[in-house]
Amino acid sequence: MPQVRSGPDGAGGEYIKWMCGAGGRAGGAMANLQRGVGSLVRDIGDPCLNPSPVKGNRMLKPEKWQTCFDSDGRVICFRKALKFIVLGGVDPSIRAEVWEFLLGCYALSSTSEYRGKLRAARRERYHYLVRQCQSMHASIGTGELAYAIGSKQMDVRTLPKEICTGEEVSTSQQTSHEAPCNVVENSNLNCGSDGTPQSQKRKGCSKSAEPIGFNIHNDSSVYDSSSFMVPSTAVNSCLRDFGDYVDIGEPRYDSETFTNLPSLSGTNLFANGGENSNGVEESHCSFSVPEDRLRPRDERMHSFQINNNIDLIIESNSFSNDLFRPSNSDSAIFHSDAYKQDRWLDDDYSKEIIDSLRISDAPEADLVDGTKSNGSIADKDRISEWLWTLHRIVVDVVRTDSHLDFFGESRNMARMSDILAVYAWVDPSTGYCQGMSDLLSPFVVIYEDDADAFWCFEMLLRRMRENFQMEGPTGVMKQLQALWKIMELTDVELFEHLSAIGAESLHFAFRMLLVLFRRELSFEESLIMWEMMWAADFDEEAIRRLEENCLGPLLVDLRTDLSCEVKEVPRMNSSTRRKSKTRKTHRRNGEICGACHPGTRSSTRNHLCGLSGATIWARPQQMPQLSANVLARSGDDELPIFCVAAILIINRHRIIRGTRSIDDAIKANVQRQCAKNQCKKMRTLGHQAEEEVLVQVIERRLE
Amino acid sequence: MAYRAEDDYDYLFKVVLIGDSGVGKSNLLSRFTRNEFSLESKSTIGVEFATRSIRVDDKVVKAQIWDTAGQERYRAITSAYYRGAVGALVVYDVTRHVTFENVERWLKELRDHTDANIVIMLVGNKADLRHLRAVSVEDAKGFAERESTFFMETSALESMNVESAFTEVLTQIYRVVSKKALDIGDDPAAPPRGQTINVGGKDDVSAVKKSGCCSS
Repeated sequence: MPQVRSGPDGAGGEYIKWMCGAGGRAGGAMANLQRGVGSLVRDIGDPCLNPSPVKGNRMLKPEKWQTCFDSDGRVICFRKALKFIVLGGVDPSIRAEVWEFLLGCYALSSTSEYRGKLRAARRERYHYLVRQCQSMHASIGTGELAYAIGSKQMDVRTLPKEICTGEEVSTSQQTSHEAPCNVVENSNLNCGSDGTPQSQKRKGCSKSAEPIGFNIHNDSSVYDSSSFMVPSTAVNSCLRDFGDYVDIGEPRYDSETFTNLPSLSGTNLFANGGENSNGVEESHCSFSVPEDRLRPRDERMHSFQINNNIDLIIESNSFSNDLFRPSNSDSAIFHSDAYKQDRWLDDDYSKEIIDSLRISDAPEADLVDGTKSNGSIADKDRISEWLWTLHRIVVDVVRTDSHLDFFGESRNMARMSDILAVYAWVDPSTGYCQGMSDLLSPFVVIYEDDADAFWCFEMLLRRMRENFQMEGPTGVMKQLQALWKIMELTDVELFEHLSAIGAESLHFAFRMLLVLFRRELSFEESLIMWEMMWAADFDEEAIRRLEENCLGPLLVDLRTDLSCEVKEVPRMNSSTRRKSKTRKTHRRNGEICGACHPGTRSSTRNHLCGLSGATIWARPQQMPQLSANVLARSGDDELPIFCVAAILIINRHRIIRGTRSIDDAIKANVQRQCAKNQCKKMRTLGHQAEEEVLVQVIERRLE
Repeated sequence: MAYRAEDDYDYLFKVVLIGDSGVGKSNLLSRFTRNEFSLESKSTIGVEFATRSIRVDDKVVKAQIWDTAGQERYRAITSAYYRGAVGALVVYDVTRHVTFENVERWLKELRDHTDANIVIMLVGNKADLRHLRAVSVEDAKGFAERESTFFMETSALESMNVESAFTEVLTQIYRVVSKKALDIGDDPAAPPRGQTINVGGKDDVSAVKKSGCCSS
């Protein structure tokens, strides 16, 4: 069919059109906006985010940072540091340390000794949580992804094309519908009952999800190991024990087959039965690789089951490692050998697990959040839901910042996956949501210790949790509403223009707000953008309030853990905590209103949105219109809204011109040429405006 | 005419891409609109758009394709994107059976939010991964027949059937629109230029407006 090409750049040139400010052509005003505003972000970022010699002087340097502490390590002049950060970011060598203060991991008034203890306690708590998760899925904490699946692997199409027969397909499907049972009841896989020495099994376990074995083949170079799907950690670990056989490639499509199931409360994950169960038979049937090549010969293949949810199999040997050791030693510790797993069958046992997750002062409701807390069904549902979440995590982890060499290493992908898995476990009302991996990735790069990365990520999510919860990104939707209101009050012309082209929903800004410009800016740029935002918005009071949002399982009490003096440790009575665990919309909204510093600039609510205030001050005639209640419903992470607003307003001409040119069916070449020039001009303008804004922020803030 | 400006079209159809996360929706879109495929594509956050015009009969049909995030909890907001859609590609991954199982839910959601006359094509993507296939063509065909949708297997990577799938949907929409126009006595060849066609005749035609509406 003949096609009408849109231009020399090929079909659908609109993808790039707006990048140059030429404006979109027909129909795609929204598309233009999305791309256009994205490019605006970039343009704004360009001058001030790319460290130039001039900017370098303004960035927070280690020398400056060192002078901010007193002899005990208390931060005494953070404002001075903030000033530098807002102007030029943080020197990468001290970024990890500075971010912890910006995010509120540590109070400014804490001593370095105290911080050291708190860090140690948090690390211990994190690793305890990792062990918990590991008990449910043995891949966690091993440096391997839970599943060797995901688009990246799947899309490496260098695999030998093996023919999958219809029979195999139907078998697989049949398998997938195999009579279900409950996850908890059936998680006693037979891995451990095959007589394999535990130590050996353990080793296998630790390597569980590694795409294994291809190096044994002569033609290994043909294969990209990452492209092989490993059906389950259980399978893998069992197989690995046999050392010299190889490829697990055969069942790989099984693993793919059953990933990403959206919902499965009460889903039955495992078929009952012993070594000769149907599950085993089925698994053999479904292998698509010729037996003579890859089939492990050992009859101990039968020691695991494969059935419909093959990749959710829980390894028996995961129970052998003191997995439920709470940090306060009085709590129940369950130590099992491989043969004890059938305790999983027991409701009491699963309850025991849940109980053991609880730290001393955390109320029960925290742990089985949102469910009937005493029901073991709910507990099991929670575990099964979490197991499915692992799939979603891996699917996204493998495509998060995959352009970075850093994440080319599966070990680093696994770190990201682990942290997301632990988070999903401790915050079941959020679980995992797309976008979270984008937010986590920088922390994984910056922090060597997973626990530190986890804590920063968690602190960030405290501000943004509402964007990621089950009921949908309600936080962002509120932010978009607030953005729309800001536009209406601050820039009528632009507001009307956006209305006219049907962009009222402002969905083009959705992604910026959800993942904080990660997709619009480069990796390095977004780090600087983040720290500038955090610095511009830094407020010790707000951070103190964030502490109340601490998830129950994450509460660290230095008194019990380290027998040291308690200081600034978030402690609440259980009712408060329970409330904070369930959803704080009400409280948060209240806080936001109360958060204004009365007396100073209450009319602009500036303390939460320094950048915003300054941006709007840049257009003083409109200032009075921005009343204090504009943002009352916008959630408690307002600065990004103002960043977007600032970007839009600063670039108003470009936006209006760009999206108006829909009407102009002018010759593309002419337009493109103009666009180039415009682009240059806008960059300069954007630069100046940004400087102006930031300088004003500083002045207002520090005066 | 050697070159026709992108603005110059006879029909504008809104088409949505839906399906579980990771099935390849974004790559189908980029393959169709830009002839690009990326192994490193990221998950879609929110919604993305792209357009491309094709010729059906002697008309230029412009497709405005909306690509949405796949994760379930985004559905609450993505449902807004269905408004005005006259065509949909419901995508699953032939190597992940669960994504096929979920098609039913996607269809339900689609039908809950769009007009009954919407043209739907079931698309089994990643068909090049033959050795990993978990959904048979027969099953998918049978399902598509029961659900009265079109069906095609595609590979965005190999560029297999991508063109055909979109073209087929757009052509079918065009047929529906033409027929509808005929039915109501209009000249099918002369619909109001540039207006988004609403197959079903609902009022909430489309958020997308043609140039004429946007002057201010």
